[in-house]
Amino acid sequence: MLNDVPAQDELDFWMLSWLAHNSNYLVIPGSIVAGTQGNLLSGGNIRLLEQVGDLYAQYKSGGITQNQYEYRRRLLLNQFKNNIGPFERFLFGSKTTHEAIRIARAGGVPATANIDHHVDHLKRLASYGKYGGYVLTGVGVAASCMQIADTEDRQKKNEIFVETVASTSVGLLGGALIGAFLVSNPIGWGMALVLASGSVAAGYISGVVAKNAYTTFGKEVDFVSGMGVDSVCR
Amino acid sequence: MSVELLRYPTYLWATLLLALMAWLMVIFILHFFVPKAMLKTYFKEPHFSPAEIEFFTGFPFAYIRTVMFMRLAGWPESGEKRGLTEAYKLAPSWFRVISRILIRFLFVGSALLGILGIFLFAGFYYFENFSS
Repeated sequence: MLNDVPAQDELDFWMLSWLAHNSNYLVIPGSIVAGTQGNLLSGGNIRLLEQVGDLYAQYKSGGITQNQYEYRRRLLLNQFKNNIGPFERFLFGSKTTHEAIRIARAGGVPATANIDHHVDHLKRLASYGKYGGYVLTGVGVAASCMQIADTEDRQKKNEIFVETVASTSVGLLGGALIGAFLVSNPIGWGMALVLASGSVAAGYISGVVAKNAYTTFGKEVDFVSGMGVDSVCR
Repeated sequence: MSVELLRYPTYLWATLLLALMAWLMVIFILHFFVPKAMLKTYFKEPHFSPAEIEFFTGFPFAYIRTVMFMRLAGWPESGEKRGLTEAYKLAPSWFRVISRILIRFLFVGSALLGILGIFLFAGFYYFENFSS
């Protein structure tokens, strides 16, 4: 997911680029990071694109004129473009929204195939985005498991373990707090990005504190063998 | 000044973290007891946007939805902007009481954890880099 963000979007996606350059990004829960993508690739936005297909059907059946069709299509696509913001390039590659969602005029290909193709693409991305957090958290936990297995040092194994538990838990708590906030404050994607990045930062800080706390005060406790983690991660 | 100064704040931080992890487990269970009537009546437009409905359905983000409805049950006025101030009426009183306790615990516990966490983050940094 991170490799697909083009370099010119890094200014817009400062949070993602911070994650990409931070060597610890795999152990920070991604569930909150993916939260913002889930907002953008939403049923509402996808419905906007589907309406372009409906409009075309209306035009072809004589319900509206070509001018009306083109005008309304432009309105819908502009709204979609505004909603998704800088993600546009990520989703559609080098084509703009307007270029990508055009009616295929080639013979034998259904006219709305081009639109349907992109709607399906978006739906798939939306489902990845929604589960992306779960997958990333899974990846994060799996990555720590690998790190635990890779090191021989018992101390290091325990440090990785406590860091993972702390940052994952705080990330989940961040999600809960965001939920409590969202119910009283419906927000847009810009704010969602800010909230998400705050949770990620809190998770990271907690991980570091846990590691330092363990190293300074908890060395006698061997969580990894006590909980059987080292029989799983080896 | 020795790093021993951080010992008891650290123990407090660790205790808070464990308590909040237990809180997460409780939410995991309570998720299945959110009144179905509440969800059926209010988890739809215009109270929630299509984006939010899609996002908060299914694993794992439905748990965030659970916290949202708990806040609505405990503090009806929190639903004002979404027109959800009546939603609490569909929740049994035990759910409303538990929601108030749990949400309060979340806010207070997280705030303490956050403040202590930043303090300890800075403290450990100091002792690692500026102190023998």
